[in-house]
Amino acid sequence: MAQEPGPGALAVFLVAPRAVRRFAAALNVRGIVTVVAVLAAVDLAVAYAAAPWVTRFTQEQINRFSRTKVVVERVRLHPVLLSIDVDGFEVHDGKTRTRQFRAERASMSLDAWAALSGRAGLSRLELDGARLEAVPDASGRYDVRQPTASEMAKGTIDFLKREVTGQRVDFFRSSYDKLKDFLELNRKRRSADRSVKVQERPMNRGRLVDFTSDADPVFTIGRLSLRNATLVVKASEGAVPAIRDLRCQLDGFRLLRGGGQGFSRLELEGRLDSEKPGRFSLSARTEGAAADVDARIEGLDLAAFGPLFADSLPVAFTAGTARLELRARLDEQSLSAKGRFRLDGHRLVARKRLGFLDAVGEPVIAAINRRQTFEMPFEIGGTPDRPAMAGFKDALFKLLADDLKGALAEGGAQGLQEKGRALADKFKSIF
Amino acid sequence: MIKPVIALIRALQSGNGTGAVAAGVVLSLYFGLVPLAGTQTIFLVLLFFLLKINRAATVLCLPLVKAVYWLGADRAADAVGHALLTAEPLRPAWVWITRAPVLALFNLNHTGVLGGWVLAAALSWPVYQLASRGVRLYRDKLGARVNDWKAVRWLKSLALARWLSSWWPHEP
Repeated sequence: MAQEPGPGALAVFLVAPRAVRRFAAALNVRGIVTVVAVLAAVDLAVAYAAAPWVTRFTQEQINRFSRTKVVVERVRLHPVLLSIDVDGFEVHDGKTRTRQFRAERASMSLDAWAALSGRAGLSRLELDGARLEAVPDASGRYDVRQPTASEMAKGTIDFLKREVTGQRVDFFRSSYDKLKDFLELNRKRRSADRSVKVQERPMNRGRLVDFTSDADPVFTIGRLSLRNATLVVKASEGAVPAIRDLRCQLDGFRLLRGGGQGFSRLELEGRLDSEKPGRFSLSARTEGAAADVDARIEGLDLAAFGPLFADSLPVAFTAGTARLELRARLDEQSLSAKGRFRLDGHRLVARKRLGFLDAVGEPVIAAINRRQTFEMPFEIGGTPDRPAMAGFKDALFKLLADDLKGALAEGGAQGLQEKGRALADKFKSIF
Repeated sequence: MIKPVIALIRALQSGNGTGAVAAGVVLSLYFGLVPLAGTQTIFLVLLFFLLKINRAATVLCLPLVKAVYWLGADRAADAVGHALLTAEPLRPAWVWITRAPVLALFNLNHTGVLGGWVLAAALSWPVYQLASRGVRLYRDKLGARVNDWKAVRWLKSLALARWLSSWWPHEP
């Protein structure tokens, strides 16, 4: 006598179409369970039992091919899940052996689609609890890896130039130079021949014919995430407060065969750990050769963080906080930025001679210092190599004009005359 | 070696389809003419086990194909592969193939590999036809005579052969 179907079977019968039911009936469930169990056993065995050997092998291979020294506490490789978990990943300066980077946990997954296409790639790379210490070398470079021979030569020339001229490089200048180099490199890569190159290589038997283009990605990361990170930047004048709770997400990163790099989206935010706490955020999106950037800083302690941009500004801040909002569009040939910044409780002093601007520089500084709060919209144009600060100059001249009008209102013609005499004296001292 | 021999003889004589035997011979072409490395080896081995072919025919014909390969077919395959890879009108296709998922792992940009696949594909149909006719001819004309050979009767009489053949999975 046929067995009555249970309610579950009845539900499947009513809900699932006939083809699905026939497919399900044809499945070897026992075989599938066996295969899954075997794969799980293999994955766990390699991840845990083989971990010491995998750890040693990984460390040796990375140190052999990179110019840094890497120390790894434990590597767990999951061959079935195509993922790697790393505990205690550290990068040390190859020469001085000082630790420059540490991540408590790193986790990455192999990009199966990229692997099937014959190239290396990660679908995700996550770093938790990372700590990065950026220390400038003698040439002013901030980098975690050893420089190449050409970079060392350029660095030596830059160092000698700065020793002669007295011009130093701060973190802001170093970062801006890196951005310009990045844009210049990508411009050269884009203007280079992007057509497919055919190259024959003789093998033991037969020949290999390569079809390559400089625009081919050789390594990709689908998403790079950084959580709970800390960034400590040391300047030549000494340490500055750390940036804590740093969170970063970089999507669509790719290294190109011709040497360029690219990404589709970058989100960065963190907390400025000074006595007066502040926050910053940066969002960047790229579209072809152009990048749209949206940056905000609130509560930047100008005195504490001053060493980071000390040599890039003609003024120094001895007190106060700043707030900055900036929207910019960069590409290889042009820079267009609009924003506003605000100073609160500030105190400025001139750092160096401003040349012909001395005549108005000190009055401008005085005018800014007289205000408890100073807010200024600005526009920057030109190119990344030669930014045009016309918007700044116009706003500062307007500030000066407002002050002169104020002097006229307060002291009448005599007050204005005294101000004009002061300015004239300044001109005379120059000429 | 006895198992495949017995299986082939049985397959040639049995109601085993001529198509299965001929397909087994054709698969030996691919194993013999394509330099085996990496992904294509896995692919061919999967075909070997998953398709309804006479696997004994593949195993027994492979040495013959490999001998032909080493005696000059490798140079022909290299020439064919080089001509195809360097043909200007085909360049967009090769650019796509060398980047396409899965296909990128088949090393089709190697002249010997591509030439081997092309030669094997070109010979597949004629070899299939020849093998099918050969099996039918054997069964119609030669089967009974071969059974009477002393060597064959001796082979079949061996207890070892009978025991081994009882373990050989039934050929389709």
